[in-house]
Amino acid sequence: MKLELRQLAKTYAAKSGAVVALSPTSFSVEGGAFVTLLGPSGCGKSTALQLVAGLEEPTSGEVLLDGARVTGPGPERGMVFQSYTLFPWLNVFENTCFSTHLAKNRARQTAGQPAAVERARSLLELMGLTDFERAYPRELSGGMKQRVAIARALTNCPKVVLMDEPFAALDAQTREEMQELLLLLHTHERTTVLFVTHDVEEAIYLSSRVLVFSPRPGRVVRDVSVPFGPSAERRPDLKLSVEFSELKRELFSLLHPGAGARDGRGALLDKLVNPTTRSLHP
Amino acid sequence: MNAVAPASALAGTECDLGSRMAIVARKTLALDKGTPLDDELSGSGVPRAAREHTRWFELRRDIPVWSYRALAAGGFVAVGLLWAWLSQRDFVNPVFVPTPASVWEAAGAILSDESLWLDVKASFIRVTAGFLLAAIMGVPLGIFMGSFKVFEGLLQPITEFVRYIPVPALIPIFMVLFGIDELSKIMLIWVGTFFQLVLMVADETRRVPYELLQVSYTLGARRREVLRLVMWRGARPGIFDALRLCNGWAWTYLVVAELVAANEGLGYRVLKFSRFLQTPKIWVYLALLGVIGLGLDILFRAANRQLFHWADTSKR
Repeated sequence: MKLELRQLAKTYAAKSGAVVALSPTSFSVEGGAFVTLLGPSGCGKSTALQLVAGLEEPTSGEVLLDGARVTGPGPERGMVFQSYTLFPWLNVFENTCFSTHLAKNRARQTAGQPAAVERARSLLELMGLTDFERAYPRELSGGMKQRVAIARALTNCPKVVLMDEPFAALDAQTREEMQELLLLLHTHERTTVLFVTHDVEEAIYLSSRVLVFSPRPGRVVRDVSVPFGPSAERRPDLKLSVEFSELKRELFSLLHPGAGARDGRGALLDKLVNPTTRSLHP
Repeated sequence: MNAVAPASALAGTECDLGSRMAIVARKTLALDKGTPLDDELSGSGVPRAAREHTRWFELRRDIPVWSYRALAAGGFVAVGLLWAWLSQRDFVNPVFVPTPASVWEAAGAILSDESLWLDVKASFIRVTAGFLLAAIMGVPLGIFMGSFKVFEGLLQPITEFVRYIPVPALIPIFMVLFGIDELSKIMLIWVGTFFQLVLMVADETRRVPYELLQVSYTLGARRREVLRLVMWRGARPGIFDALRLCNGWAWTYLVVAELVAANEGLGYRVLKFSRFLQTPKIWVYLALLGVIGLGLDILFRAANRQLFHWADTSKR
């Protein structure tokens, strides 16, 4: 498996003129890798993912999957979204098996549909959702919904899984649980993952490689190989190590160039009345 | 979370039971002393602190079910009392505001008359035929309008235009086009509901989140499969609710439809009574139309809950 982005760029037409969402970007992803696109919001990392998924068309450049040009969405590029995208009328098991009912996948499945359904079942078990197979999405918590969404994408055996900030809407604790689960899955399934996040720690902890995007208009400013071994060897205490902190600091400074957010706002801040020195009700 | 709810509710009752028993025990011990414990046990037996204070005028907050039902019944009673009071006043003409007694009398006569059931049957068939025709045509068309911009551009503006034409104004044209038999009556009911329904179905189809379509494509769905397995299935509860509203409107067009050379039917009968100023009978028939409408509405709602239990009903 090899995913290649060649001079991929996207420009939107807006009332105030063209908006560059992604300036020409090239990189490639090897099979089995966990590659994260890290950047501030609006840098085009999600746009890049949408282009790889085929949900948007590039203004220029191309995406190649195993040498074949991507022209639209397809089952070999599964996707997990930030928003909850379970089908509310299907229960957890039916959601997970959704892809097995589609004509395109029937043709792809070499082992046949029963095997695919069996796969869905074991993925749900791995995700700790066996007891919730008959539950409907409205009965699930946010973390559970995302677990089902991941299982649903993996049931289909995609060549690459695209994840667009899948844990952004979750609370910190659930998020950490989900990260562990994702490492477990990556170890177990050896799926290629292209992950998007703005969280530096999440990027380092999960990935074998991090591509850092500059603020708008986005382009890749750094390509970092994460030296903490394969997914199987990563444990939460890795986040506490010195090496981890150093890498985190390095990437953080790339995301926040300059001294800080207050740059150039000194005059503005001065104009604001200090609430401790002046009473609101004289 | 759902699994936890009943357990905690159970714990709650146990707790109440426990505290009640404690009170009973204390009461037994405090026998003959005339203690104020009697107050504690009075009322519903629930400790005062546990009784939740109902906020009657909080925005969108639920009120107890019993009070909701009492208010619903109270609305009917209040209108009935107002009517009874009004009908006794000198300044109202008894021809327009008949006394409850005279309406009651008329109701007895009408309900025992066989022609009532012929009227109900004739009207029901007309309304249902017009409504079903609108549904069979409107639902697929609405789904297409909500799914493809091409169909929306082609059909939405013209539909918006047509739906403002008043239905009674079409009677002469429909009599020319469809004759004076059943067909023109059915078509009048159809025209009153079809255009509204198409627009509502299109809206409901558009309400299916775009992310659901995107995720279906990335799972390998073809456009036709997305239409059938996602758009249609996701829009169904909303479409069903649109059908409920349209069925209600279909009944309101009944009187208009039965202006056209009818010989029976609820709307026709109302028109006939009005010609002879038999207001008590008019009221009986109007009440009957209300009962039929309300009954159908309740049926539709119950069916919706049964069929689409998965939907988040709190927003509906």
